[in-house]
Amino acid sequence: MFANEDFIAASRKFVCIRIETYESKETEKKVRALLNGAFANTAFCIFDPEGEQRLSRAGRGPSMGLSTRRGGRGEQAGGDEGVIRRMNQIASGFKPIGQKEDAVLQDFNSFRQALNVASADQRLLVLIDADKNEQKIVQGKLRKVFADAEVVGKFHLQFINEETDKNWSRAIQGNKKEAAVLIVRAGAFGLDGTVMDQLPVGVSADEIKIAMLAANEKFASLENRKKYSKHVSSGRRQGVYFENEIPYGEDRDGDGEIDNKRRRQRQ
Amino acid sequence: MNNSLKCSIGFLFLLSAVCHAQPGSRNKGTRSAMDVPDNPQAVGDAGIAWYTTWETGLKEAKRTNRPIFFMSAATTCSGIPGVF
Repeated sequence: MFANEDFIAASRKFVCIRIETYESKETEKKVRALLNGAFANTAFCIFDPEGEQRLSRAGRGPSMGLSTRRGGRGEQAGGDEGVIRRMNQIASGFKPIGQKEDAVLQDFNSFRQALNVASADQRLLVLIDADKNEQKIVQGKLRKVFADAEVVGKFHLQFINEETDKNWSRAIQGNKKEAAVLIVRAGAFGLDGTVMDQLPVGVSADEIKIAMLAANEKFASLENRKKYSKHVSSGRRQGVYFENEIPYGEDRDGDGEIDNKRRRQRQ
Repeated sequence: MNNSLKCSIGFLFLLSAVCHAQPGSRNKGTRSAMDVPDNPQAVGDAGIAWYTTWETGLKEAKRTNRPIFFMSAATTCSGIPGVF
């Protein structure tokens, strides 16, 4: 569904937020609030612009939350078309305001999560490594770049926080000290990355956009879509593991404990 | 049944037990990683423009009066990163 062009077009009428379920106690709390106390690796809901009122049912995904019949999912809900129709209906109730060029910029809670998400989405990550004064300068340019129709939805963006992202540069190959804007290709497991291009703080918005689009074109020619099953089995063989604050698994009965914890402990 | 076949079956079972349903899945129960469809979109094409923290997205929603399409999802399967 998320690759459907009509779905992507409908999503532009919303502010789309996707958090990492297992990242922290806060994310766990948000998921449990939506799933009546249960915990699952996905959760979905549409909210009003204040983030308070629910405009859809909460569920595991859009086809559950936006079905036209209670309990209906997938084909029962009209499939992707039904979801897109409902999204457009909801969006039509709001008149957007403000300029695109003034948009709040994307950011992550940490560099390691940014690299992981960029790898999972197979998108380039734009990393900003600059002090506070330089960040302000770069932010103004990035607002213009990330509002550009050619750029929207193709990249992720992360501002390095020197206090919480210590040693981030060890995971990235090819970065120069003087660079402020780094365009990074994440590794297969999102644990490392390679710089595809890097620019100093003084470059113009147009120069950043040109560099990003050129890097994206090159990236598209180099990167193949992951085969989910192969990726997971390869990760297992290599002993790759990504630790989050919340233990993996689900709590379907909502008793506050991950359901498969006992089994995991035996392994 | 030889040992490698036993290991393969065991591995498939483990993945099935640990990797759960994805958004849009029609199955109510758990779903094997082997069943998760590959992303049909070409690498480099435009997808959904995500905000990746609640705070930044909420600020933008208030600024633009646009409703919020909210998802929580895992970027790992069995603790293996780099996949949704």
